[in-house]
Amino acid sequence: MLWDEVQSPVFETIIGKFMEANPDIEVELQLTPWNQYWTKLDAAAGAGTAPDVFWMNVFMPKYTDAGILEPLDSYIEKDGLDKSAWVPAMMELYSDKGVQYGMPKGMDVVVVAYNKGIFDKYGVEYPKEGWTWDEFVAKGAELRDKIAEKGGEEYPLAMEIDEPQPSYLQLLVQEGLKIYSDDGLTTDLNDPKAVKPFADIVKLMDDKILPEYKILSDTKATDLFISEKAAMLYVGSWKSSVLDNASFAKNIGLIPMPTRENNHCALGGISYSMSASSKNKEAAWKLISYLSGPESNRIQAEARIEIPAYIAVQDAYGPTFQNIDGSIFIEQSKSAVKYPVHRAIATTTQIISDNAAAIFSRTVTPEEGVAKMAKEVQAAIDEYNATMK
Amino acid sequence: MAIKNTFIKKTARKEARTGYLMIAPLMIGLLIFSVRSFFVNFYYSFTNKSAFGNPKFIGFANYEKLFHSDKFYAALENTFLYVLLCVPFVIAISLLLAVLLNKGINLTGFYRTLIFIPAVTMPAAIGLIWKWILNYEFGLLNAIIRLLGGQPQAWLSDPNYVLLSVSAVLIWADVSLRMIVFLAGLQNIPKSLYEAAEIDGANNRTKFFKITLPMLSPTIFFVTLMEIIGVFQIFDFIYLMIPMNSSGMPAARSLVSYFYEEAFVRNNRGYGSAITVILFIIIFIITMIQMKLQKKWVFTES
Repeated sequence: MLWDEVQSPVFETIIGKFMEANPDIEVELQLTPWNQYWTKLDAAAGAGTAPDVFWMNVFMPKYTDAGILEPLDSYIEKDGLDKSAWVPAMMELYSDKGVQYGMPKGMDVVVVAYNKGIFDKYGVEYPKEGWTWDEFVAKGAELRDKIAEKGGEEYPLAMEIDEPQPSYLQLLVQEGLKIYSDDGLTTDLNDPKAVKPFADIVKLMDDKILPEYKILSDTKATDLFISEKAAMLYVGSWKSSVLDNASFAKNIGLIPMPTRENNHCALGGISYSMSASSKNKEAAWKLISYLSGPESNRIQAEARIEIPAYIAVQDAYGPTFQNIDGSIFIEQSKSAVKYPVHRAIATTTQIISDNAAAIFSRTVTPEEGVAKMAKEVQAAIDEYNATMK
Repeated sequence: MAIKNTFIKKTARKEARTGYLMIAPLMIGLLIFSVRSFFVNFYYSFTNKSAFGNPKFIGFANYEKLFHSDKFYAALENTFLYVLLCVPFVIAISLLLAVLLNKGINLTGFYRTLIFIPAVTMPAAIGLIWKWILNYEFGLLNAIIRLLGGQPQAWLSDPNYVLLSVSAVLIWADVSLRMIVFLAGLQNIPKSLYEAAEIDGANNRTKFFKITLPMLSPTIFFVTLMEIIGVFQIFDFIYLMIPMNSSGMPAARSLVSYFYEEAFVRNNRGYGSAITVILFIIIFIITMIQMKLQKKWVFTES
């Protein structure tokens, strides 16, 4: 079971190949949109009827705690797979207390995209690699002034601040924060540094570089960029085929994120997991091992839907882009850190986005909002740890 | 006599049995999916049920949490605002349209189609189309406003407008179905009443207030009751038009939206159940009040 309709046709191909090689195994592909995916998986898992193999994301600890995922170590050992064939941060993301519960599918990075057409139209120089946050803000201000001078209607910058991953989560990581401590007992959102990313985003809105939150929650930032309404965009690699297929794709430049304390990227990604109640574990493992293996990674890379987590085939990603330069994604991934995770992440993510939304709608100041966020996240962590004892 | 009585009893019993048999499919469905769920839900509201695992009984803890939650009070307030805003407009507009249609006012097929379209359209389609119409950047409404030189607004994400926007869509969507019910009610009023009034020299106004309204009062009562219950449960248009993290959500979130977020997004099923129990109590009380009040204004022929 998977959730992405863009990737579904590619998976038809991959699974077709798998069944050709394994004629005794019948695989049925099930597409469940993101909005219903977790609800459906929870219900099915609760009733012991979860699919044999399904996509898993960083919500994983919730499922390992409920005993729904099959540990994969014995299978990996039996097949003699070398774990170092995959990007270590991704393998680590899907292991829990030293047990591997998922095999990496690929990885998500965030970069900045810019529309060269808009930059040229207003006579603004393209950004240069190695830029800092201040240079990034200055670029936005220059665009704003020149657009206003000529009576243009474009926004200098768009950012999906309605989601953590392609926006403030990266800025938090770039302040040097870990969000969750390694022992899973505390959060460092109460660090004074945690306020800065939110204050900076509000300031971008104050300075009319970034559109107001009411505009960004009405229209996705990526849609603004794709309709040439925004000059720059913080964008996730999972949107790369959308960028590459845009009518003005030849004019899209990509560049790593500007440096704050650092310009690390919180590396997200999906894995394949097996249901612990599967009746066909051998076949399920064969499928997982094929899906996370080189051939499947190559097909996905060539279809531009995923940056391979399987290191040997990473070269396949990039050349197949017709317009944009996909190598920037690989470059950004090199300075990446593991996505901040916690066992209660399904709950804490919601708390963080709720409070972020209040800050961006200006119902609370960044200081108040982050203080409340830190308090509630800590409370959720404590509550989770208490119930698990 | 005795023989006749047993005969009647026998047929009556036979008839009753057939009757029960006829309604059995519906009743079994109701018992399993409504009545049973109602009690199960009531029980869950006293537990810490989450996505998996066995629920633990925790007494009134969910309710206590609920009564200390700002989000709950905001959702409660929004829900009442929806009811106060939508119900009068739906009733007034659908009644007006029904009276006009009943008069045989010559509406062309085009206008009739316009009026009936919402009744045969899926809520999902309505929600998605209006989401586009009301969009800040690319929406039709703002395009018109810009053309007229006005100030475009973020209808679905500005906290000042979002409740009005959702209400407008709900009113638009609900009017046609309610109107059909009113139209049926109007056509049951005997023509002779109007003829008699005309002989007595009554004008149109008097006829409307002295004949139409009283004769239609049972229908008005029924429609109002259904509409109030319906609006209290408002969810679909909010869900379809406003993303959960939108800046408009706090001003648009209804009790059912809050229930959905808690029960299905955050997996606090027990807490979610408590929200629905509160909603049930509110609707129950308001319906009881209406049942009492109706004796004062609803006209019954007997």
